[in-house]
Amino acid sequence: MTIESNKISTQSFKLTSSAIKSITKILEHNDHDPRNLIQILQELQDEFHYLPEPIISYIAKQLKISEHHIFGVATFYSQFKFIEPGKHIIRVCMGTACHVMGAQSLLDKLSRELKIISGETTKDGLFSLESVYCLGCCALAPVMVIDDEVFGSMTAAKVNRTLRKYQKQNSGNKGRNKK
Amino acid sequence: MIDFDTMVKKAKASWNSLHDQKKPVIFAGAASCGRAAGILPVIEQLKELSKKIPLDIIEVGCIGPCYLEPIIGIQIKGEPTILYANVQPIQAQELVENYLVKNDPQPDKAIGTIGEGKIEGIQSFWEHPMIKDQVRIVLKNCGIIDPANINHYLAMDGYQGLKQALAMKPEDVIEKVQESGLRGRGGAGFPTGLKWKFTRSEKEPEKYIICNADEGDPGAFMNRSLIEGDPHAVLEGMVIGAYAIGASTGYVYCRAEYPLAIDRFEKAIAAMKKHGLLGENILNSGFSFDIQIKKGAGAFVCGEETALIASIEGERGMPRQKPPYPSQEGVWGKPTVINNVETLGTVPVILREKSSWYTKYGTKQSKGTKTFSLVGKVKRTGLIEVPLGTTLRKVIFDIGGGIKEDKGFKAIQVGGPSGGTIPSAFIDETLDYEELTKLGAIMGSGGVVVIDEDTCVVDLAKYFLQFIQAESCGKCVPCRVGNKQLLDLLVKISKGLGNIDDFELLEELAFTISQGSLCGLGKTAPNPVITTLTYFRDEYKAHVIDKICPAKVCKDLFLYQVDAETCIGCEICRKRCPVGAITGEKKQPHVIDFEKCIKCDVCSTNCPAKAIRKIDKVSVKIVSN
Amino acid sequence: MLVINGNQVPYEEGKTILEIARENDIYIPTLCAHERLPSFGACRMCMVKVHGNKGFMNACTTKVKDGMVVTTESLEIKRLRRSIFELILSEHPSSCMMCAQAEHCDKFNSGIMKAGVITGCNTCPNKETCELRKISDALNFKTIRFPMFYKHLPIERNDPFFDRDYNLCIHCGRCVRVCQDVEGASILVFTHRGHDTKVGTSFEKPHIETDCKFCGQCVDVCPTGALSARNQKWYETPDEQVSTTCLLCDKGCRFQIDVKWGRMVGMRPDPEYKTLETGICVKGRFCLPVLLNNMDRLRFPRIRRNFKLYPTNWDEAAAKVAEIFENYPPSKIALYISPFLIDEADYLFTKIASDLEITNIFRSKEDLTNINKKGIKVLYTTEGLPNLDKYKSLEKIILQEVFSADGHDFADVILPAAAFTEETGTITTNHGIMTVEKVVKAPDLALEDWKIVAKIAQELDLSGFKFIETSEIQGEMKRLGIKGKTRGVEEHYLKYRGTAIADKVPDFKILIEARKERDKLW
Repeated sequence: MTIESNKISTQSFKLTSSAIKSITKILEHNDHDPRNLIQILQELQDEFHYLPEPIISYIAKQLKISEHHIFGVATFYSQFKFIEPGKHIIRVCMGTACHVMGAQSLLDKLSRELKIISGETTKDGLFSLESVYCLGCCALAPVMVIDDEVFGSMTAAKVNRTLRKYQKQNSGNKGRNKK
Repeated sequence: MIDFDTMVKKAKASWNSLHDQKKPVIFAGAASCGRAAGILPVIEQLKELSKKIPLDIIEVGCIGPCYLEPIIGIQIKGEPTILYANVQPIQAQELVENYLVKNDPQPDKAIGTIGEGKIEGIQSFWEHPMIKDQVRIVLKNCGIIDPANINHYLAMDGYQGLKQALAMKPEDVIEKVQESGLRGRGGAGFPTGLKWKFTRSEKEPEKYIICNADEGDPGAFMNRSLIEGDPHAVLEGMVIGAYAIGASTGYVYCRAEYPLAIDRFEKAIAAMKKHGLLGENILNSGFSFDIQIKKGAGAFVCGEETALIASIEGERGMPRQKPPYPSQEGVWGKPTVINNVETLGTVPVILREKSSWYTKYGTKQSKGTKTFSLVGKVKRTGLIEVPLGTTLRKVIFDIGGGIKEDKGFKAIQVGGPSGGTIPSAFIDETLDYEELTKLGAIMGSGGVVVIDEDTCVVDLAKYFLQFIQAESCGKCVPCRVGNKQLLDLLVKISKGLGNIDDFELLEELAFTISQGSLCGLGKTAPNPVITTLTYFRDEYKAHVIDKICPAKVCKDLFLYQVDAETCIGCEICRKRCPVGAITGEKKQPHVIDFEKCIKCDVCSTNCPAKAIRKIDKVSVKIVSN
Repeated sequence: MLVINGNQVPYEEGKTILEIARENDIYIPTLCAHERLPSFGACRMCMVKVHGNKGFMNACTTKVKDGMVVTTESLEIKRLRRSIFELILSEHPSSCMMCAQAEHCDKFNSGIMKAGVITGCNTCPNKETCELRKISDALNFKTIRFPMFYKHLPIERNDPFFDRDYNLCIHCGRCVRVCQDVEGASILVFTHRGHDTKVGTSFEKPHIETDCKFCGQCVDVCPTGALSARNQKWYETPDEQVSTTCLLCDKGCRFQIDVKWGRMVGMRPDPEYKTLETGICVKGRFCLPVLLNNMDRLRFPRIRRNFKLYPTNWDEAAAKVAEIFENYPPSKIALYISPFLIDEADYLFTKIASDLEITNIFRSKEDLTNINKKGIKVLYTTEGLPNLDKYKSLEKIILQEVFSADGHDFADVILPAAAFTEETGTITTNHGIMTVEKVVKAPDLALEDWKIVAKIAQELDLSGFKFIETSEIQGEMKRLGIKGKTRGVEEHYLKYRGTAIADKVPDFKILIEARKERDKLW
């Protein structure tokens, strides 16, 4: 399927003093221990929504380990992002039960509506679309999650309604990328 | 610190008072599944209501039949709790008001009662068709107690097993677990007691125990449910294990996709510390032990022991060759036991009861009970627990109620991407380690996905390969490259581009990947292909030779067509079609343009007359303009 | 004892099946295993059967047990190995192995093959030393049943010294392990996961922007052409390989130098030598061939006539030096002995100085201030003469150099010296006395430093300078109890014989320019 792409591509991140402050707090809380690297990265991503290059090289110096090692570890795990995600992250469960119950159609529908494919973010910075393997709600397949809200037994028809709810919330007040 | 018996007495009193209190209590099934089904707005609604009518609302875990969620239970003093299914906010308020104010328990809307006593017209929940054939040992407390309240667990004989264990010699604890015949519930079924024994016998004094809560099999959620419903059982098992092997630190490795489970663990650990059940000098036994939670970061392969260890150490989750086994060189290079959530959740019962009590369940080699997540095209989906050795028929037809819409039962898929697809012909075979291995599947952690005639096995195998391919760590050649080639072959076949030589290649790849791969993920990766190729060869042949997908799932092999005779010309499909592929006048049969159609299925699902059919592509000669 | 393929071989505790097999000349194909690196178990080529075990075991990680029965060759093992190797080749360009014309091609192709660039089969920089080709030959590979997959990764040529074409990478992880476990640097790491796994740096940064030391160890262990030293990739099989010691600093690193057509074409650390463990630096690993093959090398003796330097022969040049020495009192003559001379040359310089009663011997730039203090009129330097205009008293300058160093244009005599790769002798390093071997011939008339001194001594009718080989000088030094000394040149010194290495090696210039803000250049 070809979709007219609506994804954002460029971005920049400035390591401001307030950013350094929150990074320092996270590092301190993890005893500056490289053995807690994954947890540190998780906390950094919770704070900054993604792991831009300046943050990775900064913490490498602080932890006295190779930034490349950190990048290697981070890119191994699908949880970590290196491009700024949208304000709302839509995750479509592609677990076995969801697959059997039509998760692909659901993902395709979302792709068509948002004009992005899985892994991309809309131009307005409002939505990122992701597919994940099993959220553990198999009995309610197919399932999608927007931020922390779980939507069970999804249908294509419900997609529009759900998206509209989020779009309405944000009308006039666009996503993170457009300020 | 108060002593254990006083603690239990207090806990029991608190639990009993919940049932004796004047204020009615609402139990809301608020595990992840309940939340996905919409329990949270229900709880909000009832909280509002509680401002008018005095109510206590308690969030409990999942009681099992997820298809009935959201579920609430209402209990008034002296009466059993009545469970209501599929409740929505307004309806929930009505149910509560009707029962509490008008004293109308509305038997027609109830699904069962829990607790002593009977209510006219409502059967006991334990007699519910999905429940009555189950034996709930591990899941005993799930959906019954408040998982965030340690008193509830203590009132349910919680930590009795630990107390008994601490009074025994560690060797005797191991002996007792060995006697129970308990085998690892995470996949391979290695005897738990033996694993502990090996680790204990290592000379290195520093040892670790890890609870593997990285339940990554797509289609499996037993561990999530257990943690969310009864976290203390798992943690108690962990403390017992630590005592048995001589570990002073433990890690819970839990997937980040399970935020609620992580929250439950965190709260439970804090409560245990407060009650002297974790930390220094546990229950004055002189034994000290602490647990840290490590969150996974989205890598299925980290369910593999050595990858899990690497991940805990802050590295890429790439497995390393065994031996040395984790029992010899585990986390930080020290002897380490890694047990699955369910295994640890079973340990307290084994310590609490006589070994013979546990061994009365199960088969000769597979003792006890096992939880399964029953999902897919089955009427009653949810979490179940049955003795090992239960037949597939019982699970799918008695417990699961048969196939949705009474379609044809085709197969079950057990054990996730490492498991296999077992066809309906084996319906009378049993669910236990040996039998499943014999059929080419594995127990895995216990995901059972039921498949009906509308599921294409080539597509299913392709789906699993896609998963494995995305989740392979990329270290060894057979898994990294082999699975990619295997997937490409299946894609080719599903597009109708396969040829007869591909069967040989599929088998050669399956051999190479299973024999050549470094870790369990790779070694078992071809199982879905091998089993489907063995049991459903005709379906593969249909794709390869006839270029037909019998289940009409592989999109390149079928077309959507409007059946002119059935079509009522309602225009719904034409309006809904996202690509404008459908034309037709009102009240006239509509037509789908094959070339424009993207096979999104929107027309078919929305057609009130069910006039939209899938036809084999080879049966149509497409005349292109 | 254990049994491999039916033969008893001695058991050694702690060794792997692979190690024992190699010691007993039993061939097991491997790609990820490397004797200097911890075993990894990724390529799966070394699968063997161990009696009593289900399935196959990989020889590189499985430790032997006393009494173990191992089979390294059987039809089943062969099937598995071939299949795995086929998978590797399905993602590695393999036309050089599979081409029907490969045999003829190898026979007639030499040098840079332009046709290959177009047909794609000869663009691999590692064709001649490719370990995949060795295994392909051993397994007699002719076809691949799986569809080929080319990764279409951009070729990384944005760094000095080495190129990276990860389309050729087979993910054996040797570079990653050498960078992490030997160098302790972790610049090259595995990134991403599964089929998308790549070797690279954080956010694909060029190495020059990282802390990469350009030690080149990753290039050395790469079994394919994925990592290749830019200046040595087109030379195919060298004519010979000679080991010698690097003289660019006191560390005393041992190198194996590839020689082709009488020129140095490639370097790699001598795998046999312990100096490997102390870390190889970019100067030795990458700069030497470019530095010493340089067009700017001094090739002919020259003497000044009528304000101009004219090429001449050695006799005339030596006579000219002798004449200068005879015309000035020894107190007005100074010798500047370069730290880059071999011990024997250094000794002959001190010997000639003592015979001529020259006491002004300089060994560092700081010593040059004595020129003005003592009113030196003649300077014989082997390390150039920076800031020439400062030394007003000088009347005659004799330059014995490898390159036209500072002061060249004002010299009265130019004596072209051989570089240390062009002479045989000994040097004293941090590891003690080590040997340097003549790897290639010095260009044109350039001569070993000690021979130049001997020639001048003969012109001055001094006795005791008739040596044919440096071993004779060593003998004399030994008799007299004279020992060489380390010369106090540390790893980050940027010159050789008074010439900035960066001036002769463009890639080195890129490196030090790019990193001039840093405390440490590498």
